[in-house]
Amino acid sequence: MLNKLLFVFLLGFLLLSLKDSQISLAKSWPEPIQATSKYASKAGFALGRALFYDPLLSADSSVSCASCHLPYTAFAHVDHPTSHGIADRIGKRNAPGLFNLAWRQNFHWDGGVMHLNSQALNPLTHPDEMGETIEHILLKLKRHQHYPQLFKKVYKQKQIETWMLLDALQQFTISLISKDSFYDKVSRQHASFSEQQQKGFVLFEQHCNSCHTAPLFFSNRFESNGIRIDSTDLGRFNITALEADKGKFRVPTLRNISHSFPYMHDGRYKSLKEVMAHYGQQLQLNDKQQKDLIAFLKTLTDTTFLMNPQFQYHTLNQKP
Amino acid sequence: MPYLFFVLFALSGLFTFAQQQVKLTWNNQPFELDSTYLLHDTLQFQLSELKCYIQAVPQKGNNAIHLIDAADPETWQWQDHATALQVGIRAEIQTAGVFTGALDPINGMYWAWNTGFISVKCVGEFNNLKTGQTQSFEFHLGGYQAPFACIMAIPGSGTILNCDLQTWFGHILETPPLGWKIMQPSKASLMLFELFTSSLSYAK
Ligand code: HEC
Ligand code: HEC
Repeated sequence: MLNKLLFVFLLGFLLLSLKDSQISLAKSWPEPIQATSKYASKAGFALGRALFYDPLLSADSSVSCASCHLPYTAFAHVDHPTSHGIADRIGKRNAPGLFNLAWRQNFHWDGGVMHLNSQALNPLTHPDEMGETIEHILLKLKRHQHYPQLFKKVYKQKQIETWMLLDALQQFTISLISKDSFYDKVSRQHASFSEQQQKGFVLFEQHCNSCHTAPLFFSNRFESNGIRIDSTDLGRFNITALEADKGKFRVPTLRNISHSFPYMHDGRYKSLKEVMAHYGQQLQLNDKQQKDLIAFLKTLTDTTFLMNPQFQYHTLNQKP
Repeated sequence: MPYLFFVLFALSGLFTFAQQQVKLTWNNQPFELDSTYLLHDTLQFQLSELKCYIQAVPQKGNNAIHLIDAADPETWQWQDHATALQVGIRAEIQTAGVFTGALDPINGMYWAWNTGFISVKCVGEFNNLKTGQTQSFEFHLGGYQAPFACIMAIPGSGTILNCDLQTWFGHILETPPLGWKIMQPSKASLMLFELFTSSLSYAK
């Protein structure tokens, strides 16, 4: 009897701890591609979140990850076509929203980065972004009043090392999951589309889903969607040097798209209306069809995610 | 009994570590960063950074990876049982994520924007004493993807590896201009890398 009780207790404990460290999946979503951290834990997530919001990580302590990836805009950057970093230097690409990253094969508009954890080396050390050196960031963290304890709690090791910084940031970013939009409610049959949304949905399946594939609304491919190529950024070609990849960019997600303006890798379109005007020309879609499509795209907005207090700014010692 | 000795003897072979060493030279003289060296009597070279990854060759297992840093004499020698070496790191390792030790991104050899490692990093400048012109250069030669992968075996084997920088820059100046700021995989970076690898040789 006691044995049985103990077993049930242990099983419960195991399940709870699993729940703590795994990302939960909506039905019919594919398996995630990016590996979760071996150190995934509540404390690791909270540490990653603290780092994400901390301008200490930039050279002049003026820019944090959240300066370009704002929670209320699905962690995209909104007030400039391309993101800007320390000393107001303008980067050359539009900061994408950060969510459902575990399902990405690779990162950045050109797919140059293969791992979510190593991605953070880019903004941290890029002169146009946070302009720091890893060495100096680690030094600042080691000298900090709270970070050494927080790192030790997660990594059980006294010294803070590069991989821990990257791992903690990834623990936060990989847990940014958006799967509770109106569209999701409809697909779970908890709601239904309006007539216009339904028309937009049909048009979407016909013209867009091949690239922006549901339920993620992206695909891990590099494509050209017909926008004018700018010779200063040839996209995937920068990485593969293959002629066929000239001017191809990764297919971005359309979830939360109403919130992550401006659009395209260089932020050339300010509104969905401008985006649809482009596709309208490409695919011969009339004004009304364009409007229907926009109505559908707006059902992909996930306010539960956008407003999730878990993902927003917390002070260092605040409970999760 | 003799049989056992033989087995022990054979096994000991697996575990003998030889002292290995890289000798950085300029025209067979010891090379130092931030010193000036002459080439063709008129070109005065000075390097401020030189780093390079060397990995033991047997293409199996987790072979030791050494980061040679001209600024740090401790990195110029190591113990290893493999005596055949390559410049650059095997592709599977380059794409496997974030590491510690010689592979820690803190060493400035990890390519953040394009997953992979720089195999050879060299920064410096030269003065043309005749014309008074100065040319700075920065080479980040690396990457694992065909056709520009910068990973190459050093022919032969041995325990002392000579790296003569005068030979390398001599060859660079003999080829058609490749550019002086080469920071990503390309034809030019592969060419510079091949010239670098061919300037390495084992001491006889
Ligand atoms: C100065 C603005 C800026 C800052 C600061 C910044 N980012 Fe970004 N981020 C960008 C831009 C721009 C891109 C797209 C880069 C590209 O495609 O080349 C990006 C891309 C990303 C991606 C890849 C997303 C994808 O879907 O490919 C992740 C993850 C990310 N950033 C996380 C972070 C983290 C973590 C930090 C803080 C350590 C950070 N960013 C700081 C601008 C910024
Ligand atoms: C051939 C594949 C393909 C098809 C079909 C396609 N797209 Fe795209 N879409 C892309 C690519 C690639 C980009 C990114 C282009 C860039 O930034 O250079 C993109 C970008 C977008 C963006 C901007 C996203 C952002 O975050 O900046 C929107 C919105 C969009 N597409 C909507 C649609 C709609 C609506 C349809 C159907 C009418 C559609 N797309 C059809 C490939 C496609």
